[in-house]
Order: sequence, then structure tokens, then C-alpha cells
Amino acid sequence: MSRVATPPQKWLRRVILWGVTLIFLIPLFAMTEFTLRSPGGGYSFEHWLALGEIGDSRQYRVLANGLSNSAVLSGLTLVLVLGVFAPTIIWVHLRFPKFERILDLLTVLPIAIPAIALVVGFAPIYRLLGKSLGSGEWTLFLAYGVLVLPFTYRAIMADLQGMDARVLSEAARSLGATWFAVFTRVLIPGLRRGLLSASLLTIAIVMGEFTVSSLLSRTTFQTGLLQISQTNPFIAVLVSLLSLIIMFVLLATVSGAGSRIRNSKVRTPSAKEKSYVA
Amino acid sequence: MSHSFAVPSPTPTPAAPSGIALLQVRKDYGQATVLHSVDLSLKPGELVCLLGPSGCGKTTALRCLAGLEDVTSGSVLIDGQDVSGIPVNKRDIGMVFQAYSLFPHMTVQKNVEFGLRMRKISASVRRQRVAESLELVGLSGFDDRFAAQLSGGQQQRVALARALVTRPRALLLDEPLSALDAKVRVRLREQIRAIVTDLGITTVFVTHDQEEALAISDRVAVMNQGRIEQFDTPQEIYRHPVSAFVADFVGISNKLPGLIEDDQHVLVHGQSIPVAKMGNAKVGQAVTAFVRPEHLRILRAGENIGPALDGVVISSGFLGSLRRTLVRLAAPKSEIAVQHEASEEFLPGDRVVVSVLPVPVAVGA
Ligand SMILES: Nc1ncnc2c1ncn2[C@@H]1O[C@H](COP(=O)(O)OP(=O)(O)OP(=O)(O)O)[C@@H](O)[C@H]1O
Ligand SMILES: [Mg+2]
Repeated sequence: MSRVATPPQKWLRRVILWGVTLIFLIPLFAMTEFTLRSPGGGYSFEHWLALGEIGDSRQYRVLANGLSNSAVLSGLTLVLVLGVFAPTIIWVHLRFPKFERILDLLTVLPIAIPAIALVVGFAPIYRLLGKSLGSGEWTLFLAYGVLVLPFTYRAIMADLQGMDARVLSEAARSLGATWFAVFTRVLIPGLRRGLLSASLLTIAIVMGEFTVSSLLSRTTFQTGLLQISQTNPFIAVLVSLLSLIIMFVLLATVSGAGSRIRNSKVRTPSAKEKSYVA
Repeated sequence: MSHSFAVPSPTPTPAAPSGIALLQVRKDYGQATVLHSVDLSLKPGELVCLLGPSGCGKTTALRCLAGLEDVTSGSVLIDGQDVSGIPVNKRDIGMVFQAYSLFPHMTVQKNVEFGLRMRKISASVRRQRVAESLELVGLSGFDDRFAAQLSGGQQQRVALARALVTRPRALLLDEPLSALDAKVRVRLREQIRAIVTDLGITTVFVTHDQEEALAISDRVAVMNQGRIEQFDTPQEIYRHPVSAFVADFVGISNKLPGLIEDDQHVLVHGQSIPVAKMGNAKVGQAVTAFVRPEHLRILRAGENIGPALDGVVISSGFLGSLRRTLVRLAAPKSEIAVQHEASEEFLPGDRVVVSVLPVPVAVGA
């Protein structure tokens, strides 16, 4: 006999929701509380006000450096994702559906393999790269490309399948569109939701990446934070808190933007319009 | 009014169109041969249905015509020109797909004018042609809708308008109505037939629905396992199926045991019946004869003269001016359907005799 799965009771759902919310909120509260502590005892906005000097003060230089490196890396990784990954994924989906399964498998590897293990592979490659490209922080974008692949692949693929990209591109081709026109006029506009999610996820991952940059001894936002926390824990926690909030807003935008685009597309016809429908 | 679509265009149309054709087309997917030397020639302005069961290669044949698939061997002609090396976007065809294929982020107006944009037609001409095209499919005033705000039938009509707006050399439709419910399907197929006649555009219409094919085609190509079994007018296909497959697939056929009598006749229960096409049947061979319900005559037991089959009526159904009666035969033990005038009535249990009219039949092993 099979049991029918019933949704949990209302009170149980409440408990679970509140439990999860608390798990996320308590550290955030603790961090906020910590940044408000005054060295002399009591609470003040002292540390928050010090934030204004982050650009010019010497002690914060490593953090400012890391932040700008990470920003550059985000941009480069984004170029890689939108300029190389997205067209490749679309192309495989349209022309070589046979290879989609392989791609599916290949793109989970970066999640399946721990970052520490990945670095073992990256290190010798970066030694080689160092000879031709130098050891600038920006070269990390290649490794980051690998790290973001699982997420960007899935974001784009879900949209591709949802929009029936194969039929749409064949329809466009039959109407005289070149492949370039199929991409720019049909696929990219149709995939804006997936591409937006992929982009925001990329930024979130690159800004939050620590293991690889630390083990390859590059200065990024997160390694900078670690370094500064040894001399000024208040500012480290404060910046972490800010970056957490920014990431949260970013990721909320991913899901929010997605549903907004969907909703605007599937505007329900008004009563007057309905009367037309045969 | 409906001719308003054919107003002179800035791009002159080629002088003498000469239809489209598949010549000895073969298509392999890896080891599997999906099309075996298919020959199909359409006259200009003709509507041909590709009819056949699922998996017989209808879509593949259409895609070869469109240029969405490359043929393994053979050639494809459009307006007498070999287009084998020409990609789909240069073949100047219009297509409608089974799946809804309107661009979801564009309005109806933008969807329909897509092909004109690709041809770099000016905005004012585009507007006019889109309006004409939408009027043709009966959707004037729907310009600003999105696909999600249209019914399935409306979406397919917009897709048709979009395919026709460029005045293509051929219109290719792959089961455009199969996602729609029965009533809409019948109405829309009549509409497509009328539009095609009106524009005089050469059209290939893929379907697995034999009624649909017989209703709208100038000619029907019945396909089976990658081959065209018969290519003829709906009447000929129905009346004189050349193979057991066609007889069985198109319309209703009774399967009666027979014996090949000579090179033109089959003996069905003592009656000599002409054979439409012998194929590889040999004299003296036992075969199945496919006999249409309207090619059987039913009489009450005792009224018959000449050879006939004895049976008992199981049921009788009213079809308007006709009646179809199901008879269980004594020997061979089987059920057959007989069509006859509605004025003759038979009740379940009535003892009857059934004889075969001397109309050419299809035979098969
Ligand atoms: N890309 C492909 N690779 C391999 N085999 C294919 C491919 N496309 C079609 N086939 C095979 O070719 C045969 C004919 O397919 P096709 O789609 O032309 O059939 P169809 O007559 O249109 O059927 P349906 O009525 O189900 O649409 C099928 O056996 C199918 O499995
Ligand atoms: Mg098909």
C-alpha cells in the first residue's frame, strides 16, 4: 500500500520557517552587536564611522586592494560566462543534444570535487600560466570560471528547456534569420532571466570565494578580510556583514527579477480582452 | 477581399513557379534509414498531405524539404531549383510547427513581421503586410497581444500568418493542428485549405489523421516505414488503395480471406473480385482482401442470388443518410462492417447474407 504524502500541518510549517529564519538571523544580529561595541565599553557607531576612511587609511589598504581585485575578477568571470559559456551551452543544446548529458555531468564536477582538491589541480597550471600571463590577481578568473560553471550552466539550461529553444530557433531560421539573428533576436531576449541569474550568481560566488585565492596566495576580498581581522576584527566583521547583506539582496533579486519577468510576460487578459477570444 | 493579400510586392516574385519536389531522397540517422528513396513532386499551388503512422518519417521528409535536415542522398527542388546545398534561412519557405512556436517575448505584430525584418523590408511596408496577413487568418486587431494571451488555435493562426507574410515559395506544415481540440481542428483545417487555395501557394501538410488528409488535400502521399506507398487524389486513395497498408490505414476496411485466381482477380468466398495492384502475390496464393464497408451488399437470408456469406447482425448504426451494420459471419468466423442505405433496417439477431461487389480491392499477405 502506498502512503499519500500530505503537506505538513500549518503549525509545523510555522515552526520550521521560524527555526530556519533564526538560524540565519542570529549570526547577523551577533555580528551587528559586535560592530557596535565600543573599545571603552558600551555601544557606539565608532566602527561604522571609521568605514569612511577605508580608502585612504594604510591599515585598510589590503582590504581595499582585495575588494577591487574581486570586482575586476567578477567582471572578467562575467565576460567568460556570458561570452563563452552561454553561447556554448546554447549551441550544444541546439545542435548537439547528444552531448548534453555529458555536459550535464561535466558541469557538476566543480561542486562534487572540494575546492581544496581543485586547487591541487589549479596550482601547477597557474605555475605554468605565471610564465606567460604573470601572476596578477586577474588570472584567477580562469579558476573562477570553473567554480561558477555548475550554477551558471543550470540557470541557463533551465531557461533554454523552458522556452523550447530548438523549435523557436528553427522557426526563426525558416523565416530567414541567420544564426546571428537567431541569437540576438530570439534566444538572448528569451533567455534574459537565465542570463541575469547566471550573472548575479557569478558575482556572488566570485565576491565570496576564499579557498582558491587563499591557497594560491592571491589577494581578494575574502583573503583581505581575513588579513584585516587579525589587526582590526571590528572592521572585518563589519565589512563581512555588509557584504552578506549585499549578497542577500543580490540573490533575492535573482529570484525576484525572474518572477517579475515571467509575470509581465504572462499578463492575464482583462475582461474586455477576454471577450475577443474566440 | 481575401485577394488583398496578393497585392504587388516591392520584391518581384519569380516568373514561373514550378512546384517543389523530393527526388530519390534518402535519409540515414547513423545506421537507421528513415527515408528510402522518397519521390514526391508537387505541382504549383497544390496542397499535398503527407499521411502516415507515427514514426514513418513524415517530419523527416518535411525537414529535408525545409533544409532543417541534410539529405543523405537525392535532391530537393524548390521552383525547379536544386536547393540541396542551401540552408533553411535562404530557401524562402514558410513553416508551421506542431509545437507552439511564437516568440514569447514579442507581440503578435513583432512575431508576424519577423520574416520581413530579416529581409530588411521597410517599416511602412512591414506594417501593411502584417495587417494583411493577420486579416487573412482572421486575427486583425490582435497585434499587441503576446502568445501567452492567445488560445492554441489563435497561436497557430498567428504562426500561419507569420509563415505567409514573406510570400514564401512553399508552405510546410508539420501537424499544425494536432495540439488543438477536435472542433477547432476541423474549423482551422478548412481555413488553411481556403487560404492555400486563395494564395495559390504550394503546400505540404503533414498529418497522421486520415480524415484530415482526405478532407483538405489535392493529393495525399501515404507513407509507411520511410516509403511513399501511394500518392494520389483522396478519392483514388480511398477507392483504390494499392496496398494492404493503405487500405488498412485509410478509411475502414474489412479483412476477408481470398485466393489469387489469376493475374487480375482474387477469389473471395466464391466471388471473383478485381485486384487493384497485384504486388508480389502469386496465382493460387492465399491472401487477405481489404474490402470497404460500402463495397459489400447486405440482404436478408433467402433473398440472395449467387454466392454470399451467411451471418447474423450484431448491431446497426445510423450515419445520416447511411447506416453501418456490423455482421458476425458464420464462416470464416469474423466480424465485418457493411454500409448501406439508411432506409434498409436490420436488427440485432437478424439472419443476413453479405456479398462482395466487384470493385477493385487491395490484397496483402
Ligand atoms: N534526430 C534523429 N536521430 C535519430 N533518429 C531519428 C531522428 N529524428 C527522427 N528519427 C527517427 O526517424 C523515424 C522517423 O521520424 P519522424 O519524426 O520523421 O516520424 P513522423 O512520421 O514525423 O512521426 P510522428 O507522427 O510521431 O511525428 C523515427 O523512427 C525516429 O525515431
Ligand atoms: Mg512528426
